[in-house]
Amino acid sequence: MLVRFEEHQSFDPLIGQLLGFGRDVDSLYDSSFESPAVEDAAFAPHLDVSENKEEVVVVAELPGVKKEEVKISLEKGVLTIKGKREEDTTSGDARGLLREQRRGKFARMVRLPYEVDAAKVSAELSDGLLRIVLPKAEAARAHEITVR
Amino acid sequence: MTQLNNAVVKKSEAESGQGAFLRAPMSIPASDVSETGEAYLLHLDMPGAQKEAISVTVVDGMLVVRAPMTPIHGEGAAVLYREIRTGAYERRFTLGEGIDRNNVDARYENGVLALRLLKSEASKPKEIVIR
Repeated sequence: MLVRFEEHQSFDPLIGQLLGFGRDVDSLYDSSFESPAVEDAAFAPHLDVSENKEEVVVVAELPGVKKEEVKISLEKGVLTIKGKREEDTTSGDARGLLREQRRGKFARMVRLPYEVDAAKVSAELSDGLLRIVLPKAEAARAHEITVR
Repeated sequence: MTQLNNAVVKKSEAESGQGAFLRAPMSIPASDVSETGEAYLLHLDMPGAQKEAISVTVVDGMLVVRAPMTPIHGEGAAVLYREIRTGAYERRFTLGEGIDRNNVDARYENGVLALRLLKSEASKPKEIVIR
């Protein structure tokens, strides 16, 4: 089952904003969880989303992917991670005995829970983990209000 | 087929579910295994492991790969959504007789652990010369 992000326009601060993820907790365990967010992708990488006061941080698992093969874009509050993992690491004369690694094109979209400052987004790929740091827009940050 | 049975591929106790719940949270790395004339090649997806913390050992005919997973969120961060497992990576492979246990080469790159297990002399394919 492919869950399209258009269905998630309504904003639920905890779970509703994320793609490939239905509205209720049960869907955590159904097959939509594994579905690529983009149709020609072979798989959708697993990811975590966290926040602190200043930023939203998205971490995606991309083992075996070179940084030249990753494209990240941000449009209308939706972060898209796309790219390709090499089809095969084995040389010509090798015979495959077990194949579990997910390869080929991947794509994943995430609706961000806050407005972010697109000009200040940074990303780093290290040891197979892609870490994207998205500073919150000034308006989205928590402000303390002084009681007079 | 004999070769495959003799070889490295066998699901571990943890994978079949038995005993898994008795341990700390654990993630089983997705693995590709292939074979050439000289060696078995294993590739394990272990994103976020640290090279220095990965242990590869041969115990009782089993190749055991273990690595703690580094926490990926900073202190004080609130996790809004979680799919990446935490805890440790662990995977076991049963080694066949035809493997030289003293000759295992390991590399970790881009979150993938690559192991090369050389076949013992006796189990390499040999061409027989017709006289």
